[in-house]
Amino acid sequence: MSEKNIPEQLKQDAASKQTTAALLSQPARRRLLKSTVAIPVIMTLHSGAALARTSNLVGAVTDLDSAAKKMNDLEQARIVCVNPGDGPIEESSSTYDLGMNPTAALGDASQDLATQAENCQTGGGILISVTAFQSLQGRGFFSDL
Amino acid sequence: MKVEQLSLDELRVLLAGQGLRVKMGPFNLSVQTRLPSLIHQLHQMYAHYSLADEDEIVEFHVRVIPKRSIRQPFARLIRFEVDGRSPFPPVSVEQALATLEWGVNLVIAMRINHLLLFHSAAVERNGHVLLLPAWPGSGKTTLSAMLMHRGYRLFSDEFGLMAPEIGDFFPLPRLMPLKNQSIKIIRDYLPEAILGPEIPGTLKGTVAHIRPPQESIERVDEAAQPRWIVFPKWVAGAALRLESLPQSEAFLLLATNAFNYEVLGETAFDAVTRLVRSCECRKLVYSDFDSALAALDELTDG
Amino acid sequence: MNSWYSSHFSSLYIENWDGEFTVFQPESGKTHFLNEMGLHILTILDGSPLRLNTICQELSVHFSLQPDTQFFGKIAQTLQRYEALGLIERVKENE
Repeated sequence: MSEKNIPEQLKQDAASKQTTAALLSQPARRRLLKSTVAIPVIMTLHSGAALARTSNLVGAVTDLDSAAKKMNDLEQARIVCVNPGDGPIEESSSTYDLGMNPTAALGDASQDLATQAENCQTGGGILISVTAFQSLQGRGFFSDL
Repeated sequence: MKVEQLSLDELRVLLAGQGLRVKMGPFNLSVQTRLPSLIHQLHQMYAHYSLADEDEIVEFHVRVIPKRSIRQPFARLIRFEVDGRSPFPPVSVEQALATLEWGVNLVIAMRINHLLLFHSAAVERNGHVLLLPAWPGSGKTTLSAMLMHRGYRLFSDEFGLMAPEIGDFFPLPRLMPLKNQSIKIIRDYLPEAILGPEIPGTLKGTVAHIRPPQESIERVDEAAQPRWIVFPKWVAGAALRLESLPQSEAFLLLATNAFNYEVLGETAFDAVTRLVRSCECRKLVYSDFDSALAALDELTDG
Repeated sequence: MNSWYSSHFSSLYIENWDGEFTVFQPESGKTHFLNEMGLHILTILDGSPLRLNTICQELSVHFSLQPDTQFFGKIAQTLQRYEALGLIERVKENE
């Protein structure tokens, strides 16, 4: 088990910390959860990374909360807009094969997240979950973002 | 009847015609192909699988077919299809076996929702299942290959297949793709293992499949209850550590590592809770296989 | 002035893992992982709505804390987060 992998699977929703637990090592996360009684902590599980690890298949997400984002130097959030390859792999499915070399772009930081997401989808892109994004990055993709 | 009881010609007729219908754990699989190289490989690698009865339903119909490319007219490409749709881009004909195996795994991962599917190796010893959940670098395929050659019964190197209501795990012994350095490790360590051809240039590097032992395939109907969950991590040069893992941690790791946790919702929440509460949870850091295997033997003794 | 209450507390599935909690929320199908204070907030909001001040007071007594401005800010953020997740609801009161 990779110590980095535990937090990769989690999106921390701790309102008290804007820092995401995804960046914390396992012992740090344990401290955060176990010893920190002075701060309320809530994390919401996001599953589905398993599929992304076995292939370049991902599920598109629609809620901004779970969509992958990147912060720029000015601490502005930019949505990760992913090229969906040839479209959904089955009709009525939201699962996409990103192909051998998945590509993605970041939204315009001057716009709010909802507008960035809308522009992404209007342009044929899809939003993916934080876990799927991290999984793909862990496999060497999206290194340009 | 088993695949090994078919002559190569009989197998070819089936594969090229109505399809080879084999029993694959709790599922039946139908494979069609006319590729001579793949037919040869399946004759050897699928030898121990039983043919599905005529009147049984087949869950997955897959095909491996030639694909012509306008951009690469002389390339010998193939395409994997399931129910007429192709989830992967075409690959070279040499990668047919690897693509078939990944394709079947993918179809199982995407379509099976009556069982809770953990991304995990699973083996059985002394009547109980040992789960080895998958993480990059866990070395689960290599580890489970070694365990199965030391008397553990292979359930799967890829899927922990759990009946969520009763907690039973089901065997799904399939070909196990060894990658890169693991191929040599297994050849050196387990010279008796039957390996398929080395397939270079796949998305995961060079791959060679190891054939599950006959006994694991023959006992495919024998489900078992889980008792141990060990999260393995291979770290070069590390001293062996087999440590207790807090149950809350195990819950998080398992839930986020399941293929269909969110699809099953409350059922999955209850199932993972019961699973973790009923198992001994450990994390294993290892660099040396002998000591890792000895530690797992000790854990699963009696 | 806002008050908060946990509207669907009784529908939550809560498992205690030695002071850490997994919570399944049937309405959203999501699983949350909470520490003790995270869960305690939901518990005290089960029933009648409470204001931020009262919540902070209750928490500081329960966890033997000296609440400061930062603490109030953190709890306010947590309440917003819980509201976004549908775990609690806001009630607007007349002054």
